[in-house]
Amino acid sequence: MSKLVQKFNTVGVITKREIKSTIGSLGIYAAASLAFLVANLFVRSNLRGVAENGLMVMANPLNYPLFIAVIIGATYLALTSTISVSRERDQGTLEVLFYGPVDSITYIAAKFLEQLVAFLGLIVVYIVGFFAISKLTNFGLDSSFFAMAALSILLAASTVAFGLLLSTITRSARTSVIVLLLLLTLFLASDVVAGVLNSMSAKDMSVTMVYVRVAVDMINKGLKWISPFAYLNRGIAAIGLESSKHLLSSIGASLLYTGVLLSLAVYLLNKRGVRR
Amino acid sequence: MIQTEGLTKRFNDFTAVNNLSIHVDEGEIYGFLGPNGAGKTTTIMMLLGMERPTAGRIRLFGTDLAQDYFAIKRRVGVLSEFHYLYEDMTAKEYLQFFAKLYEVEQPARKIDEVLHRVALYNRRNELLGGYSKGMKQKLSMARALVHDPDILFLDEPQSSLDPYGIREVRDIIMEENAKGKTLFISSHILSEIERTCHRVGIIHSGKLLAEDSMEHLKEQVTEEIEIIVELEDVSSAVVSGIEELDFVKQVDSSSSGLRIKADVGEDHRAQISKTIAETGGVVLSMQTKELSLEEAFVIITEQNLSLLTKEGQAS
Amino acid sequence: MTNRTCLILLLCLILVGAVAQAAPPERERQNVYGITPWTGKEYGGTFAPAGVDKIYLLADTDHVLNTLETEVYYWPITKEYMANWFESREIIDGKLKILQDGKEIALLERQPYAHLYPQGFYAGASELITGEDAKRKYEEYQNAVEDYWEMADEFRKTQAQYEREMTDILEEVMETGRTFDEHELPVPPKEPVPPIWYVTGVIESFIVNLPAGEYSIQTIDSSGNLVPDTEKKLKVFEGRRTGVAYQIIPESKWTRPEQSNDISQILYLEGERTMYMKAVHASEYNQHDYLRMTSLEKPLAGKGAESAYMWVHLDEVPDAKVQILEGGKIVQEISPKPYFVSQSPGYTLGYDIVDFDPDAPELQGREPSFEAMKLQIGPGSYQIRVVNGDGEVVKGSLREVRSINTVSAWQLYLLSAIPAVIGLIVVLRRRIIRRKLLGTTA
Repeated sequence: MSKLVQKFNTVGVITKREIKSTIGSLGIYAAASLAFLVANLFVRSNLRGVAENGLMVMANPLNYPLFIAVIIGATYLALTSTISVSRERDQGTLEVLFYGPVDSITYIAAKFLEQLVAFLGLIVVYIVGFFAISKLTNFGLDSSFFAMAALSILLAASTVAFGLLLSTITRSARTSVIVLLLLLTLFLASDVVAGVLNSMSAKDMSVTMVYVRVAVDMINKGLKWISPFAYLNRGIAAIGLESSKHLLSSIGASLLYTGVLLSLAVYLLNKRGVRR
Repeated sequence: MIQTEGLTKRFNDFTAVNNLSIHVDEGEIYGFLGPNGAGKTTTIMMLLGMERPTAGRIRLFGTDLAQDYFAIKRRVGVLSEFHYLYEDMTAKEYLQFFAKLYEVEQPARKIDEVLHRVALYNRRNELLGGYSKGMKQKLSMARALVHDPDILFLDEPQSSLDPYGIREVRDIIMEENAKGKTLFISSHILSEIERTCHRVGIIHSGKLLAEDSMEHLKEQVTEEIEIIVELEDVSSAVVSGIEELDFVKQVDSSSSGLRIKADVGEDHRAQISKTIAETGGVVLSMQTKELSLEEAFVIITEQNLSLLTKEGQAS
Repeated sequence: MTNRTCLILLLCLILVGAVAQAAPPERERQNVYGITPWTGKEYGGTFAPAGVDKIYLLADTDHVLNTLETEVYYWPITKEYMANWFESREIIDGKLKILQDGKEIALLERQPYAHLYPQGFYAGASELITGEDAKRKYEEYQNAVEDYWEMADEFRKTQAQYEREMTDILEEVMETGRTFDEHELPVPPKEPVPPIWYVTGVIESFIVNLPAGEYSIQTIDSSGNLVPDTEKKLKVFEGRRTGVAYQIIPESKWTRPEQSNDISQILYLEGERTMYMKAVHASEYNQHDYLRMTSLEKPLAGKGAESAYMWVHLDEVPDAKVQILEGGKIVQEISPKPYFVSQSPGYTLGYDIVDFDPDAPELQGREPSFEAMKLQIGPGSYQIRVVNGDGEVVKGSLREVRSINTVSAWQLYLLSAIPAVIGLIVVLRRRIIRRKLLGTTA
């Protein structure tokens, strides 16, 4: 049997076990419900807007709700990825797995694949759900909706890779979650602060504040290369632009980001070891 | 089957394993002994490819582990000291998972077989969360055996078991060995090592101090033997007669007999028996007290450390 | 560093900032390009100071560039370069050299030009007329203005004569009580109408018209030397897409018109609605390039929008009619009509949009508020499109019109709960099975 086939078997077996575990726990269902709940707030807002104005021109009224749902789903995956390795290390089962034909590459690949499959499941649920919402409201779904749904898999890949990297760095599941939450807060805060500062008129700002704005803007731009969520924004912007060049470059950037982070996760798992 | 050359592992300034060269033959039961922190687990982890050696080579089945990692790992079974299980699974599900991982042929038959062997068949459908420590250890043993490995690494295989369990594990070790399997056992229960292992290696502070068969190892560390003689009557003539023998170092007498300390090498019992008879004594029984592995272990690791090091480590 | 030191440093920084902001901007004499770019709908105005190294123009249309020396300063409050055109504006003699890939492709000389405003200076876009046409048109305009003044002078005289005659008649009536027949009265003179069209004075500049591409330009003086600071990159770009945009005025909120720029932008309605539409030609441009073209003096214009596109509304589709289609069949065709927004008197502060009838007494002397195509659409799914005067469907004018369904909040939230309910069932079932297994001997 070739080495590659042996590796595939390892990845397949671990992935199946993880998927079974995911399906059997409430988390993913709760994440889907939460995603629909928040998305439906936006759907309701659009419905109210049409009712109040009598007329609203919208290109894809369900795209933004889908975007929100994707972000929630990806955040859930980031969270589960973040604790996946560290929890298994905590429980000692990681060490036991590595007694067998499992190495860092196959293990990280299996974890990655499992999360991706879970996200694919979520996307299918989203598509069915939004189809129902479309029928219920008569809001249209067009090709950009499906393109966005497909592209969101890349976001999922990025967030899972991000989570797995954190999971290999941190020593316990609790630390992993804390680090993830801190990073997400940092990304969000940087975006909000940069947005607020950029929206302010220069007339109301002192020179110091202008420097602060420039600094925050630079930090925010830097963080956008680290934050996995920024990659979806780029992809969605490319869909909006209907620019295949931008779409391809955003896909390329996303894949590169995922590849780099997964490689780092493998490297760090090797370096850090699998023992408790 | 297992071979290391100059195996070394350093963690920053600390050397956990230092220039370790061991050799385990096919079908051999090898006991790996050492006090806590001696480097046993680090060595096993390196043998399993779970720790990267700082220097040295490892060959399992005559092949470098890195060269054919997956194929080699499929032929190796491991029972670790701690028994980490997926507690949301049943024993059967747990073994099914590992059977798939190792791509075991006829997994259902094999799972039933190993469950019978560790006496867990009747509890195969119970969640592992409810298992006792001993049951978990048995299941870990079943996991280590499910793919019928050619090498078994057993780290403290009997540590959490009751006497029945210890015997079951001992039986499994002997059965596996009878099938021609190679076993690498690290254990603190030295009596069990003594009963089962063909050869032992003793490691201390990362260095292999001794590696040999039981008999040779004991001989190597024993400077004098003790002969206990039960007499009908202890007279001063008998004591003097014995003391005059040139191989005798010390004689302690009591009302029931003599405790003689003599040079190692030959069997002195005939000479002693003859001398006692000649001095008017009657021998009721005579036995030579052998050094236990535990005593040899203590001697090697603590008392004779410098001597053995001088004589050449891992002779 | 202590907290007090930090505070003092921060205060100093703020003080420096405040002083810097209060200082008057530094003025500098620079060689610049004054640019009058055609923006797709009108001629704009911008300039390229020394600090701006790239100029943007639309492809295949005339733009005006002029090499000038002026006083330039940066105005930090609005973050733009300003030119003191009123006090300092000197034309730099020379020719405009255009290069592509380092090779000269044109050497332009200044030529006369003028802007013609057919609908008047304050109405509609201007046309650029160049060369002899510009001079002739300007002359025509001057003659028309002179004719008007002559006619106006004549009118004033005739009017005075008329008024005198009328005064005499009035006096006679007062004194004698005599009555006059209508034909005995003098005819009032007709007031001349001034020319509506307008032509700017003829001046000379470089007229640039290039296909899309990357170029560079420079001004060469009469000795063949490069005029300092006049070497610039030039990007000539074209629209990504063209189509028809709709400007839609909902009857219920006429002050908040909506726009549908492309085919993906669906018109969502609730119930039966009335709306007023205008169809305009539209082009989609790269937002960065377009904003740089129109506001070159603002260094931040278009920044961050390098990947974005924007629709620019151009002229109205002439003789447009809107067709409403249901199930692929035309169910209605609507022509534009003038409408008047009549404010409701009293405290209600409402309004009515009514057909503009110039003969109606209440609309005497009034102008229509807007001209548009009135659509009344009931619940359902429709398509609309524009046909031109020849009855041909205008490309890019198709839009979907959908009525939304009335959906209550609980329906949506119930839908949201479905995954969680499924999850609960799965987990509970699993737990029940597990509980049975835990401690159960098979």
